[in-house]
Amino acid sequence: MYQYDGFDQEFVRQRSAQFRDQVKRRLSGALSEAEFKPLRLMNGVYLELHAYLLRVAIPYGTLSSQQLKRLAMIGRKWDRGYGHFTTRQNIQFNWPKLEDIPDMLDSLAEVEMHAIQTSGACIRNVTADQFSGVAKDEIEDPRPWAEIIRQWSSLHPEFTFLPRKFKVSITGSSEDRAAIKVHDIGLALKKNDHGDIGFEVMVGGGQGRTPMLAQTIRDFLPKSEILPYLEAIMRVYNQFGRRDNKYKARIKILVHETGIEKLRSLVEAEYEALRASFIDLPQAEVSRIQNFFTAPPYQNLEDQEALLNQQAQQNTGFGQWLQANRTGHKQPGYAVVTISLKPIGGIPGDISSDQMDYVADLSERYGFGEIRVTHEQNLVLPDIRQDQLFDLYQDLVSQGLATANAGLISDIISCPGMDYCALATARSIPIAQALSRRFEDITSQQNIGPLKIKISGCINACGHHHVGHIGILGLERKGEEHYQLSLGGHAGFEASIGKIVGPSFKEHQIVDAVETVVQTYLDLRTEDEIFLDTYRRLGDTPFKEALYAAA
Amino acid sequence: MAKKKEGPQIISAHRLRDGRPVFLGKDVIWQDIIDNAVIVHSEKDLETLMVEAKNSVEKQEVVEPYALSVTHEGNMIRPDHYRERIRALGPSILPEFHLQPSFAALESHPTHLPE
Repeated sequence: MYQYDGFDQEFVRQRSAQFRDQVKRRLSGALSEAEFKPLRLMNGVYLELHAYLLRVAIPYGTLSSQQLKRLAMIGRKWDRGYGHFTTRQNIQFNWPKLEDIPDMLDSLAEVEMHAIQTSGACIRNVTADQFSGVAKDEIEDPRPWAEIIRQWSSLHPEFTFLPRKFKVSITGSSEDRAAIKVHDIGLALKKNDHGDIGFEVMVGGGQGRTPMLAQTIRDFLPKSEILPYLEAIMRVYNQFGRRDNKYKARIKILVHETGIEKLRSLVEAEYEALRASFIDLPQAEVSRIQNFFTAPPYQNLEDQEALLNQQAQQNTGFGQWLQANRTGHKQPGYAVVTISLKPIGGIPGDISSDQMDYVADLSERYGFGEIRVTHEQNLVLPDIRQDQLFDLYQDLVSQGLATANAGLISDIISCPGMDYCALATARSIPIAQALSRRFEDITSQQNIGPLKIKISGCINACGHHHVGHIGILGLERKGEEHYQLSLGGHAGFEASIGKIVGPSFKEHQIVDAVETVVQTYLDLRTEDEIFLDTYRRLGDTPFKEALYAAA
Repeated sequence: MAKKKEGPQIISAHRLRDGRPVFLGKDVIWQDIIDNAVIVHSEKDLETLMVEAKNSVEKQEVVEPYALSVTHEGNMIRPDHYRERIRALGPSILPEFHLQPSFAALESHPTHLPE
């Protein structure tokens, strides 16, 4: 993992001290709310329905056990004993007092964490594939590049007042697990015909009220050129991005209105102009950062399939968990484990402080003290010996953390919705809970196969409903909560925006409606088809008929 | 929330120090429980009450005061909009964090969704 140097430490410490002073001035009245609001937002502090909210950055979803324990302590001491992992690999605390936040930030700074740029019109926390560095299908570990981009974008003086927020995501694998095509910039490390590794740079993805998929602006960019090229994109966006209407201010609108060809020529011209003055990242610095991400001291082990099969046969629950929550590891004898934060009937992404401490301990006992956060609101233990998986599983069971549903229908992404969020138009968590209970049986879930339900409580789409295989959007209609269903969305390299299937459903109808969709798929699927395949083969007609035939 | 021209209304805001929802009560004392809010029935009275609320803003007691429509019966004050009911009560998914306004007894929370 990356470790702060003196510069990083001083930078975060100074920022924390600065915000402490701003809070003091706000409480004394020296700053009005209008003056304070942009300052608190730049430090991840929102004012939500019931309280302030503090959003803490987890750069590219990587946590040390020490950091997770600190988050547990913060939740216990200054919040209500839990935290909520978000679709941008951040954690949110829902109940902090404004006067306590400076102490929370100081406490975070002690473990090399902060809340800088988790809100506001700036470059946000850089997200990445949660399996970076351990994925079997990895071309190159994207974490060093994510860290380089984090350093470049942190308080970049030119990009502090962008037209709107700006999100970057990066993957280094042949499968996109980081939803890069719905980010303002998506970066994919890939190998060209000469065997060189570089970036495919995609731009203009995003969800919200105008969902769009990112388009390729540069098919292959040498790695060493990533910062000047990103700087060129940012400059063009900063100059031409609309500021007259916040709903049209994201770069996706600029791409849409300008056209990718014209935008490319603008970016390339800017790139040529700035190349002369931009100091290339020294290879020594790249190597220094890469050295933080070298492989941990793995033992020379062999794969343990026979043992795991035997244990799975003796313990059905373990077998189901193994099938859903274990992913192949590049190192023989090891496994990547997803810890589902979607217990049946639970709140997606929520974790208690006690559970955080427990997971941190497990990461030390079974791994190398590292934990990952996924954009699907789960946790990952990246380096688990296969011959210790059963022991780990039993430990997870004891804390309610062994739900065998990773990637299945009850592994639902949900934004906080109106239960917390001041922007929401409807609740989303209760819908996720009810769906989870409806499809509770793990055997049935495995029969249904990979199926991603994603729920947002408003049009801003924090719950990624546009790219859910089944997407649900909560809306208000005549003073009541209604839910709009969309089908066929997907967030991988073959991304697609879901299509609204028809009139919305009332709160008491939406769970039945989803079950109707799932049953229609089960009736129509051919062998080996997952839901998305069936939808793409047949379109929405059979689902529409099943949903609205009686109307 | 959009306010209606007629009918009972109250004023709510967030307490500056902790962000908690509060309701403007008698003697300009901000209350945690909605039952203790002052109800007004006319635009004129609402304007007068809002002046008091804005004075509280100037004193760094609260932020973002606004009016909301309610129904009241005896001591019970119940917001007309579901958003305001969730705000006055607590997250529908976490009954252990709920405040106890009188209207709580009428709510079907945490959820009446079929399981």
